[in-house]
Amino acid sequence: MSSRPASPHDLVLTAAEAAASAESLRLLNEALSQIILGKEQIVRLAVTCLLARGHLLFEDQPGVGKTLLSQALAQSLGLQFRRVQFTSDLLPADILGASIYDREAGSFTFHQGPVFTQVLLADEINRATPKTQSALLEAMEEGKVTCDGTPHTLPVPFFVIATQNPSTQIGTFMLPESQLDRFLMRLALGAPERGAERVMLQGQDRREMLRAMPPVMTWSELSHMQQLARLVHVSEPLLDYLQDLLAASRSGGHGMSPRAGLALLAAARAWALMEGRVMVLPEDVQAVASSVMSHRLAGGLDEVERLLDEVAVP
Amino acid sequence: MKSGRTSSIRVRWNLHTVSLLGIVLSMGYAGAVQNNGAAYLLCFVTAVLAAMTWLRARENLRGVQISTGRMAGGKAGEATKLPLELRAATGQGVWGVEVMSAQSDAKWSFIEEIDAGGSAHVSVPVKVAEAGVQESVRIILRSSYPMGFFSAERVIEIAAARRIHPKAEGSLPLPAADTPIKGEALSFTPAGGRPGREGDDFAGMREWQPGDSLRHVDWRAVARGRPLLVKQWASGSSHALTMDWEKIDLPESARAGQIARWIEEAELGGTPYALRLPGVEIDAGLGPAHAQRCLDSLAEASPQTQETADKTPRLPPGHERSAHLPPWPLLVLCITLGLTAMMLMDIVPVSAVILFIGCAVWRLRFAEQGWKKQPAKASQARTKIATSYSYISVGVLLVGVLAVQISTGNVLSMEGGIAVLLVLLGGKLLESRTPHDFQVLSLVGWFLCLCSLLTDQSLSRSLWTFALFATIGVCMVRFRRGADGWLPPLKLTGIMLAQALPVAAVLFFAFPRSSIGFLGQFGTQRTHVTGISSSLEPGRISEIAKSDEVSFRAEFPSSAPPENFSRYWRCLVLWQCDDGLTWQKGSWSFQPPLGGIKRAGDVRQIITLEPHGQRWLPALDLPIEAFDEGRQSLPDYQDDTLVAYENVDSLHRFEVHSRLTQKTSGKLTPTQRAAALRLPEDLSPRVRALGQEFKGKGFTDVQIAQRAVEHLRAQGFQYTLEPGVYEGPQALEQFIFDRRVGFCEHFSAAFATLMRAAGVPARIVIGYMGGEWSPRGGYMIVRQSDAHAWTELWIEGQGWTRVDPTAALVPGRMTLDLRTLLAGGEEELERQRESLLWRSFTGLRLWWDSIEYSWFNTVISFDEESQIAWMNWLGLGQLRGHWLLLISGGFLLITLIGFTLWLRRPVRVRDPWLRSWLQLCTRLEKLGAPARRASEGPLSYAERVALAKPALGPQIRSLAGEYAEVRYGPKNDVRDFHAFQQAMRELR
Repeated sequence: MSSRPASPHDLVLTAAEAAASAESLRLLNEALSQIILGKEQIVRLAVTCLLARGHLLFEDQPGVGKTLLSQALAQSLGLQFRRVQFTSDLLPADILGASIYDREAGSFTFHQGPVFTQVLLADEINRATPKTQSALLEAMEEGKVTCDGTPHTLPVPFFVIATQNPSTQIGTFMLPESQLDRFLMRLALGAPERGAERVMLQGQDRREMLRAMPPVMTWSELSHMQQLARLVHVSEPLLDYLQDLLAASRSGGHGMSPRAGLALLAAARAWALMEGRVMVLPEDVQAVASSVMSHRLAGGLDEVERLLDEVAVP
Repeated sequence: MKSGRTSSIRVRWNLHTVSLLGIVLSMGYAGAVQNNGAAYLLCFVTAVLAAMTWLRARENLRGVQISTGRMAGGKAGEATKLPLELRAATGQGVWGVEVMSAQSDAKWSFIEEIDAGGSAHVSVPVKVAEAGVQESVRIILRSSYPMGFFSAERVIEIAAARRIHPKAEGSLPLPAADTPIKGEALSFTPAGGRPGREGDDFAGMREWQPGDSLRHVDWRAVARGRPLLVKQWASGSSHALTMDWEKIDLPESARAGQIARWIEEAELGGTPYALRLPGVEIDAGLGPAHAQRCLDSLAEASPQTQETADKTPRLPPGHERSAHLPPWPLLVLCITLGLTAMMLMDIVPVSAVILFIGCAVWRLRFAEQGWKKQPAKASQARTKIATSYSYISVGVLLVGVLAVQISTGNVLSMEGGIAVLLVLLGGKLLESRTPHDFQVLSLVGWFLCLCSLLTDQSLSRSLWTFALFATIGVCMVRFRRGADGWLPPLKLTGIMLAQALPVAAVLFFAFPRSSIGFLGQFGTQRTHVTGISSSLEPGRISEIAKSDEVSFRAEFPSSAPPENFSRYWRCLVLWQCDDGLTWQKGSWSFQPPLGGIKRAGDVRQIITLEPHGQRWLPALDLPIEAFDEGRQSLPDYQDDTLVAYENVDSLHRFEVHSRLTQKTSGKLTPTQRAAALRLPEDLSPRVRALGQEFKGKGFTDVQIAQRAVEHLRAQGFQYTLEPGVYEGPQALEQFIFDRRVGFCEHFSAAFATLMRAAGVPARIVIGYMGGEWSPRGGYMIVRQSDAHAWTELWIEGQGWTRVDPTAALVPGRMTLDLRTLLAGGEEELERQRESLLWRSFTGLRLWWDSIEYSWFNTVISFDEESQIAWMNWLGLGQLRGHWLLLISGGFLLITLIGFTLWLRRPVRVRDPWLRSWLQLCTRLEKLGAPARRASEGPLSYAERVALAKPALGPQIRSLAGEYAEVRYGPKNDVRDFHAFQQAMRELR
């Protein structure tokens, strides 16, 4: 599978391939669900986000397992993982790295910051000042870091999972809309169900389990599936549906940007692949809509639900 | 955003509706007066069309679904744009709608067309003069689609609450900032940032401004060589000002404006302010959010001067009256009207037609340029042009009326009226420029169509008229549109006519008819009618005989058509000899007719007579009895001719019985004998002498006639259509002795005169001889070219006996028609008959004539009696008047209801799979499964159904999967559609 050609034009998504992808993704999801109990849907969405090459934003109370999920995700794919705890005095250089004068060499050497990793957990991103936030977001968008005029390419894949405290908490700088748009999805884990919580309380320590967890999938497999996800067929009626959704969101003033439309489509494709389908159904769009759209609309989740309810499936 | 709203549709009548009603009534009236089926048909078509346009106008607006976007709040007196989405919810689509808001004096936006299921976006300006809370916006949709007979209006109240802020006015100074405030009050102002106490939250730096305390300058930064910067803190102002509604020394109405001005000033100056309104108190603050909050409260507190709902706003003039039309539709209309005018040529003086066409050309050539030249300039220039053209059109009208008066002699007659109407049309054309004006022209055009139907009822004319009628209809639809293109109007008019025609046809048969005979007849002064007249002058009949027009058609329902030699059609009898060649009817008192008795051998004929403007009726020689207009009518005792009750001005149909062997009975009274022998005093002595020579001695009248015929035959007379002119008292002498060239009229006149000179009572009969048998139609066509004149002599014991000198002199005339005879007689005819061209041409001619004839029989002459016969045939013979009215009304109602339902039909789903899927959903719903929500995808619905009805689970899952694969999948042809439908049907 890993020896497939890289150009997307050469690839054709067959039903068998889609089914195989769906199977291996199911294994990944199961492995993750062993760690994060009772959150299958969120786990699936997180994997979808990864599959669609987007970045993920968690917005939730501390202690519900955001960090755990991020770590599990990185480890199950055998990816390099780093974590940055954002604080109000964190500076851009603390993340990106800085050029430091090397006395022996007599020149400035670039010291890579924590951003140079494959999976980056930006914990409590909204505690940092906007300046620091934007430095990270630029790195997310461009895939590279520029320091003193020299560009430094970030490793591939580069997947950022940021967590954000709810805005009601004191001492936060809310991410502006334009920067929220950079994240493909925003998810909230929420408190576990009673049963799942009981299992968690009874069972062994999750972190230990995590340490013991073997990689489920290699990175190259994931990369191949990312390419496959781009090949999922999108029909005219589905594009109609997507555009209707976008138009409906815009009819009330500021709605979804074209970039948001692309994001929604990419997420829906990834979701369809995870379902083992070769084409996107309206159901796929609906499944990912709330996580893709809620942070992009002023009305939040309620508005997404209203839109999904209002726009007819063609 | 869909919003709760109320709406109402009103279809108003307008000027055109009144005109249309007038036209429909006059069509019906004309149909009744003239007993003209085509006029009736036109009347019904127009009426049904009108009813359908009413429904269409209504349903057009009803089919619009409006959803609104969010509207920003505004300031009093400012217009904000309200984005609207108009969706065509029915399968009919939406046409030509003007959208405007009631709260705006601005122009409307015109939406040309929304496809069925499609949508259009417009934003309408909404302006509110007064501050306050606006609960709703009233949107007005207006349309005169499709033909402009009705203007439909729909008012939609859209709940779109917003606050209208007062306009900042007033010149009072800001109150002093005297209220000390605690830091907390300002800590949340998002704008943050004022130089203030240390210890509060740091909120960045800004450049030093005069007035800032030097304590707050960041001196360390200055030491690094940067400009003077001041540290800002999120709170720090110690004093705020208070705007108190009660304490402003202004009238109530001006206070809101003053406070709005203060808020602006305080925001600019960075002074925190608190607001105190009656019932509302807002703590001190600063920043846009605070200002918004204060202004909102101010709007709520402002005196409520929201427009009351029942105030009807003055609407701006619509597309109907303001759009300037491009020349193309105008050209088409002009051509159509011109053609209509041409058709009226035979009743309207040529000058009127020429005047109209001149106006049309002028309008297209020059006026159009004039209108175009100042398109951008103010309407003043246009008004100026319009005024100047009004003067010109008044001038045209005056000239036209004068011309009509001169050429017809009477403007007040029917023909004069039509001519004046035509002139009026030309004048109106000059000053027309909006759809409204052109609508007037079009309606007059429809009226002219009616007039043209009244002058001539032939099929070709009727078809032409209907075509022009339809074209004018297309123009009307075209005027309603702003965009170019003829295809949509053509299509629409075609559909409307196709829908109206069957209904009109049923009404035509079922609507109760009544003949209005007592009111004035139309078209009494025919100027171009050919046909025999009540006098015989040399050259008159040969002139008529050149015409190929049909004079009448005769059917022989109970016997075979008569042989060639007995096809003498008797029309008029002339008694008075003026100068030998000129004969007149003579003045006779009408004698009471004797009742004839029908016998077995009589030939029954049904004759359809083309209008000729006189009273004579043709009949095979010799008529016994006739049935005309439902009454028995007997031949004149004196002349043995039939006379109509009125002048024959329209196609006339009657039945007559003739006896071909009948000799006139009775006696010749002395007065009659004297009249039948009277000769003019100045008759040439040579003619008298010749008469005397025939008389000889002891010959009987029959022998005298034979002698005369033989004499004439021996003279070698020549039979021709172009006999030249015979004039003066010597005309007869010239004919008999010198030139010897003549036509039947000359022969019969000369023969009758000679007989009188010989003492034999003689008279002349004018009529037709011959006729062409149409095997397809089963009737005989008699044309003007068959016109003929012959002589009758009084033979004692036999009565009036037909003696045709033409037959004696030119025997060929008896068996051949005139044309063939003149072309070369029998051989020529044989030669012609063999040529394919001639045969097919004759066949075509007869075929067309038979169609014309059946058109006349079934449509034009459809009257009360035909209706009764038709009802009898249907077995509904007992139905009369009011029942028929009820049936027609009921039928019309049902049709219109069906039409409305058709207009409201849902948008047709194009994709067959989607259509089947929707059917499947409906079917599942009937089977008790939950209904599909519009926003539900196939698979999730299948899951829901499977949950509710586990028995259906596997089937519906596979069907939904199949559908999803086809509809959203990459290849659409992988699945078998019929198998899908089959599986769908098997669902239980």
